[in-house]
Amino acid sequence: MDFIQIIILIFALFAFSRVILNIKNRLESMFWMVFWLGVMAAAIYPTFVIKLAEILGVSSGIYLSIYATLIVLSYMIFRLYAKLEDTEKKITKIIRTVAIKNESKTSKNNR
Amino acid sequence: MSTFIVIPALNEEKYLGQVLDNLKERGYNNIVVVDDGSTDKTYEVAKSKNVTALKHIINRGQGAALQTGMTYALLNNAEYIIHFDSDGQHNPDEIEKLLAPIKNENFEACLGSRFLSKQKMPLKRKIVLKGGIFLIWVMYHIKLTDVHNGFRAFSREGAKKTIMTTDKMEHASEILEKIKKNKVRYKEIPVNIIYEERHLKEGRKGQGRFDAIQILLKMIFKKMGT
Repeated sequence: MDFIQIIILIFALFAFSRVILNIKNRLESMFWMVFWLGVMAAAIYPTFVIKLAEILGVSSGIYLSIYATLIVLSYMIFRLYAKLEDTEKKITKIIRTVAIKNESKTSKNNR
Repeated sequence: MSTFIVIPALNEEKYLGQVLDNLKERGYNNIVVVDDGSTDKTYEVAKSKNVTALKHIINRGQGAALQTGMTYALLNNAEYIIHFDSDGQHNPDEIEKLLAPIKNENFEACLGSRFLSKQKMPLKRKIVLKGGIFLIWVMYHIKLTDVHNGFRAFSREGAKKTIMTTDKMEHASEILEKIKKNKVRYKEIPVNIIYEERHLKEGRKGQGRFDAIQILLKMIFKKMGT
């Protein structure tokens, strides 16, 4: 086994353990478990990636890895964007509630 | 019948006082100023004029400020709600013109239109606005003569059907989307927007070119269902 394979394997194991320790959304956790298991399999059996690339019609295993990484990264950015929007909406809701509550407090005090 | 005037304001200490005086002179007493995290004395000016002043402790954008005012108005049994500008671009004498179709013809929303009134405006602004009209037609299939006019009136029901969830300038598109989606009965009314030099400085209210691109991207993302 090459040095790079060992590094990838250790990193994938670490990421896999983090997913298991932080299960919040079952479906999402399943996705990441399958993903990291795939990375581990690819690290141990690089020929598996080459075979898969052949099946999918991609010219080499390296290209397949790059394509897969790009897809996963794009998906993550999309998810982050959605999450950020959601957080922004929650902040606005808090600010709105505070603004309205403070006003009713002020008008009560003025009565 | 209570009419609430909602005024979102950001750093408008210079002009807000005059705007409020003009409205009060015409007998409007339910005025809600939403200070959207101003760093100047906007909030104090509103307070000194004895109107309802709500304060966003941090800036959330014009859409968020408008919705805060709308929520407050609905909580206080508003029958009609007007969106009004904080720096004197809207003419208070036109408020009744906007309200008339709601009061007399059972409409739920009235949208001010600069193009119906054949108002003269800078060419650059005209091109941008016409582009906006086309975009709204493509995205939401709603054909209007003016799409980013902040002078609007709603009945209580209309306000409930157009609750905004977007914080910044894209709220203008969101209102139209909700009007279409929730089958709000609407009418466009000709209004004149006052363009003084201070109003024409581009980007002053966050409507620069980059904001326009950002709004477009957000509209597309929203359409994709994020």
